[in-house]
Amino acid sequence: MTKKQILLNSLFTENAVWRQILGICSALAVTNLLMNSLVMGLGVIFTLACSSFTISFLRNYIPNRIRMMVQVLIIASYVIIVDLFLKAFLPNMSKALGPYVGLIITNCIIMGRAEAFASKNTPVNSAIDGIGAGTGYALVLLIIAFFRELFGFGTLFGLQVLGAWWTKWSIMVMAPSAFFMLALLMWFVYTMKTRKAKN
Amino acid sequence: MEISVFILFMAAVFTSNILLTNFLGMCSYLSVSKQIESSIGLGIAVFFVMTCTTALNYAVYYFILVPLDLVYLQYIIFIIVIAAFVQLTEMVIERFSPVLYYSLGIFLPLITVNCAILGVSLFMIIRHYTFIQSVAFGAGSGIGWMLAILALAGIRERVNEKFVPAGLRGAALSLIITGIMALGFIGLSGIAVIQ
Amino acid sequence: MEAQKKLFSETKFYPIFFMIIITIICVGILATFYHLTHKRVQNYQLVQIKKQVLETFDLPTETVSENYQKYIKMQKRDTITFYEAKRENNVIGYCFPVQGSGLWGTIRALVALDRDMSKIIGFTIVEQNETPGLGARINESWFLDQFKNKQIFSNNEVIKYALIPEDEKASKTEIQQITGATASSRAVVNILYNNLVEIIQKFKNS
Repeated sequence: MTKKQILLNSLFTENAVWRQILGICSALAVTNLLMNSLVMGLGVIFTLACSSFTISFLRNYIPNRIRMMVQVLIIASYVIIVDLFLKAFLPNMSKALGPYVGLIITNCIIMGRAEAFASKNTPVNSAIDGIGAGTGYALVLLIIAFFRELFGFGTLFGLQVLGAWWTKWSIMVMAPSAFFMLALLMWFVYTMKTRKAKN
Repeated sequence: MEISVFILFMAAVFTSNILLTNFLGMCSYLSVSKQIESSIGLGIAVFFVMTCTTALNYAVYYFILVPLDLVYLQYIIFIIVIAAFVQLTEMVIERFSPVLYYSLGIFLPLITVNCAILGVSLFMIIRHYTFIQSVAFGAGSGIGWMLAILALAGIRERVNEKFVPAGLRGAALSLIITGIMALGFIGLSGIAVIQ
Repeated sequence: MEAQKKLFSETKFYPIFFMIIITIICVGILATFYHLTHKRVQNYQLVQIKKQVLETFDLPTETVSENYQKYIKMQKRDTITFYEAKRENNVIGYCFPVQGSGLWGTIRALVALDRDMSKIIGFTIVEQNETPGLGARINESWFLDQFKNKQIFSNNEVIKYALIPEDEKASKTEIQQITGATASSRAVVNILYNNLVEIIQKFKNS
């Protein structure tokens, strides 16, 4: 596969969230604000790219039996780096994201890509695959957050867009809306795909 | 910290359910909830692991990490504790009840990457809970998670997907059902009373 | 043909060896990164506290360290640490850290009282873990601003403010609560009340 194909594959065709139903936990938790989603998305892209690269780089040396432990260790290390970076340079973000940064470790996408791609491909390709998967994930987050923040707070990235005439939809601020929005997104993608297949 | 342990427990089960309010543990929740039986098995396993690892991580954090100024390694240490505990549990179950072991099958290793388990440990640290509070929180969250997956399994077994638009079948439908359940659980939040 | 020597990577020890090496490398990198950012994080936290104290007194927060130096002095009496604010040698007021249980965890705040300790001049939340979007709204300025200029006493007793619905007009002894976050709002009022009672007691005695 060419590099471009790899990227597009992990971004769209095999999108982690709507196609593989992975990484949902944090996909729902941080989407109440666009800024949080953006930072989380970037964190995941970084972790995915780096851990895929590293795991792929070491793939011929990792003994099969401790494969999962080593992967978790590498992923956790990069997540800690992201966490330290946020604490030092974006402390407000770090507080807002709270434990969800640490939960990037258990984000099934990263383990999933490590197993499915990184352990069988070259480092550079794996990094690209990681970037694609991370971007696909970030995209989903941003789409959901767009609606949740707009209707729940009337703002986009903290900037007031809808005036005081807008009654804030409290439900958009609370948990259930994330579930509904994600379901609607999946429905939308499915419809687009079947329509494309019909043409 | 003056939060009553009982209130913390009840809130962890209902009003701030680890899955319906905090979105943790969704991956295995969505894939395993097709049948009630497997959901019960996984739910109990998650409850057990969650309670024990919360207690263990509390001890590790306050007696090892903090004194040695290694707090920044907490993610690695916690997940290793969880992985080790799950491995241990797996070995114990295999030894004492091969039947249970075969019925749980792949679920046990799956629990290691269940974000809910790591999440509960992290929440406990952030909220500065005492040991008793941590255990109550862990146990309550475990029961809450089990409640959620049982409810979804119960519903999914009855849903006739013929009536659902094609694009919504499967995961999307589960998400909508979960959203409605989450709405329902929010209604319980008036119960917690702070003196 | 002589037996082939087993490759090291095939022995039983290789997994353990590998695990140890990679753990050492990972922890080493992380420790380095941590120590590089450590000071910065600590510094930030110190500045944050200073900024919050200044905010509670409604003092300018542009140059935090300078202004803190200029106006604030940290004091201790009995077991209570508090901040005294002075402008040109006149005491503006006293700021006390208060805390108590919220719905989810401890709520920590700063309350600034005027010189006579009869009125609140400011109230800021330092740390809270309430439900995002609901209870966490106790951080919003409209909610906290309600406490400004509120009398503490009524008939020589500390007032426990009553909570009223969000859009109603509040009297001197009432606070508008946050819709959908009654518990967190109540927690804030209770924390304020409990801590103020204790503070007034301690200060009356000295």
